[in-house]
Amino acid sequence: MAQHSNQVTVDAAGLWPMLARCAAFDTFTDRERESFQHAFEHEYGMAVRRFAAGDLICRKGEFELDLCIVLDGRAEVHDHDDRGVEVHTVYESGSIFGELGAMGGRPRSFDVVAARETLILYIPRHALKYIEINQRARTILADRYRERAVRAMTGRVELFNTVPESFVDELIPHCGIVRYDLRGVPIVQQGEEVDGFYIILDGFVQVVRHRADGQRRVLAYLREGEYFGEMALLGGGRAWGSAFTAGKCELIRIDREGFTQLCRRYPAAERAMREVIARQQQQENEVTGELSDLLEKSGQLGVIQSDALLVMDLDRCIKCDNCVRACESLHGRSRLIRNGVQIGKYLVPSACRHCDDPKCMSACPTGAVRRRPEGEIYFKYDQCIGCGNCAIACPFDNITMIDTPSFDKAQAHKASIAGGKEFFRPYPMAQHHAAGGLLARLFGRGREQEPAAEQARAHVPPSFPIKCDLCDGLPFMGCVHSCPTGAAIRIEAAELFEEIHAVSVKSHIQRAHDGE
Amino acid sequence: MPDDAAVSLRVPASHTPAHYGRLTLWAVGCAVLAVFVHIALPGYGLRLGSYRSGIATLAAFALAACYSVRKRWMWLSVRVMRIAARMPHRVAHRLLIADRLESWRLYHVMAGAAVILPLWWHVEPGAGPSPLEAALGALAAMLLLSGAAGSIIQDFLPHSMRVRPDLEVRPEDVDAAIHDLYVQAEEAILGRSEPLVQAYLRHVRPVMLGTRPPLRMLIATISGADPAAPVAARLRAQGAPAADEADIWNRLITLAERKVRLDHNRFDLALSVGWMRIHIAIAIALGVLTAFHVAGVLYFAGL
Repeated sequence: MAQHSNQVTVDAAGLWPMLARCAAFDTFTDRERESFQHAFEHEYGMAVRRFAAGDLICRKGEFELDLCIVLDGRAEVHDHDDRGVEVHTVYESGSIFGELGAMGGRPRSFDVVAARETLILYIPRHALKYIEINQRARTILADRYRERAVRAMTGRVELFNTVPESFVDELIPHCGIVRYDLRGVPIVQQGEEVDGFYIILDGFVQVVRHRADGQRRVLAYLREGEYFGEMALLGGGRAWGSAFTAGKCELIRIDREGFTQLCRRYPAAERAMREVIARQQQQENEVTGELSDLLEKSGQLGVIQSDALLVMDLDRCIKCDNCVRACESLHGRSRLIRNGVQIGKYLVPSACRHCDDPKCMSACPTGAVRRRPEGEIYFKYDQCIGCGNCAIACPFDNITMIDTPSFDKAQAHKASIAGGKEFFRPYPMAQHHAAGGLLARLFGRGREQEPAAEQARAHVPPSFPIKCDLCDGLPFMGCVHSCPTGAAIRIEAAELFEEIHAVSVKSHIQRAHDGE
Repeated sequence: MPDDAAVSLRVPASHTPAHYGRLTLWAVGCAVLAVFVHIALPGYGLRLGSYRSGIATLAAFALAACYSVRKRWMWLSVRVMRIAARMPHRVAHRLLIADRLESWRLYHVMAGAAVILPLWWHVEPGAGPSPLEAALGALAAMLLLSGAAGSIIQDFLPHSMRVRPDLEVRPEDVDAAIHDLYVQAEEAILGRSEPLVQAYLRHVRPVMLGTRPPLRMLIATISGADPAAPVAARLRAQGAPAADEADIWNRLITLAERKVRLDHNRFDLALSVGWMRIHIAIAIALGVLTAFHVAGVLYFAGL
């Protein structure tokens, strides 16, 4: 597997003294230390990297799911705005950053730049257990995570626009992080006493209202940056509707006291919440039974949680299969099956949905499944060991494992289509040259170039996963570009529901981003 | 070697369709315009001469045929878009939309309908066609008619299919669903009374295993009627052999209804792409005869 060019060779024994300045490692027992050192030597992705002064350590928006510990040197958090670059925080030796990515699977919140020559220890998400094995380290990480999560969220949600940083400091002790792994878990039940105000940190929450006529209506799906519980806390204390998890989700819970202080000291925040309350109450009348069923079904099928959903408008689709053929002609192997669930007039075919909570990413033991700032999930093939965990974990069967020769052929085909670009090939390059063209094979020219044993990869996985990568490396999405009737479109789930006049599930963050 | 992450989309991608509206309207509009121009320019075909009008006709047909090439050959499109990526954002985006197959289909239909004009000019001065020319004329007319039929099918069939029950979007899924229905029917009849089994074998099983006449399916598609309704009515009229087995009989009728609807679905799926095979076959035949025609003209008449 590939190594980073700035990776520094440090042995496990040499690493430990460097970690002495990090408080999280203070109380490690010998056994825990040995376990950590063993992991450092054997776990993929645990490495020390050197950055020169001015080097970008991580970029805002990137999904790098590693915890970083500054072993030596100094790193600065840069915040860009219209006025230029502002140094937000400084990380000295022993500091930890990257908890939001490593523990919460979220993108980097800021750019981090090396202020001088800096050594950083990278601990990937799957290796966090070697730190969390220690009680004190676990507490430190959890506290830091809570603090960073609250700061990051309050910095982005419009509700806190008028709230100064000093109040956020006061609010943090009143906040807790609540995590749910399953769908359908009740967070707040209609008519029951509500003990806190919830802001969604990650994932989706389904808002349901049991009407007086006995009907159950799904009103909306709330997502990152949206909140609930305010109606009860500002009103009589009892929940107006129920909130259920719509999958894995993470919430910030602000207790009643913290919420009361927020409303008392910042009336603008309370006004904003009251507007949301009015909108939700109006929504109850707008959502028909049919629409509610559609929303319920979409949540169950995971459509709501998709970031880039390929849908086919069945009022336009002429069933020519050109989308599938285009996929095959571009990638050598089709990653799309024109069959799937139907939501209204749209067919959601079997193609990667680039989920908000990608199970494939969590299941990958080597961090080969990655996410771009735009939300696309892709494979970093040089880190793939071909275990197939991603394919097993995908709840929609949108990942296929194909044998290595077929994969190599498909990658070669893709490279020939996107001429001038190179794509990962599992076999050594010499072997590809050896294969040559027809003439080379006829006259045996290639035989002289057969790879030497040492050139070959130590281990070539028997199979590789393939899935829709939104035609990465190509100038357009083949399926969408090749649909003769414009039936195939790639949209965010929120847009799908806007089109069919359902409730918008677009996040506040997204709205702000769109300039709405 | 760079990983895939290093390579990103460079052309501003538009993920939503252009939606040009009904194709049939475009085709009719172009055809009407061609007729209007022909009427507005009387005798223009004679002035233009057979060679020029023939070349114009050939060029229009070639232009229309480009769609077929673009549809099957993505390579060119990728190359064009790579060049477009170097252009300003707005230009690149317009080129992307213009290069979409949806746009190409529009050019195809417009060129196909507009070919009427040069073709008309080309055949106008002729004094009695030779057998080859008559065949060419017939094929050209068939090509235009099959194209028009295709436009209508592509405009109206998808919606009519979607609103019908038991929709499957791939022929193989229809086959699987029909097989599943047959298995359900056979399992439902197991262990039932002899009269019910006989009624099943006589009336329901032929529906489950048989196919419906294509003409009846075509009429159902055009009229929007449910082809399963008369079948269900006939089976209901038969009635269950025993009153205590009425539920099973009703279930078998439901299965038979679904089977007929799936047959209809399969017919619609075949229709939605089948017309194109005819269209392509006519186009190939026309191309071959045109080659003979051109070669003959050059050989016998010269330039």
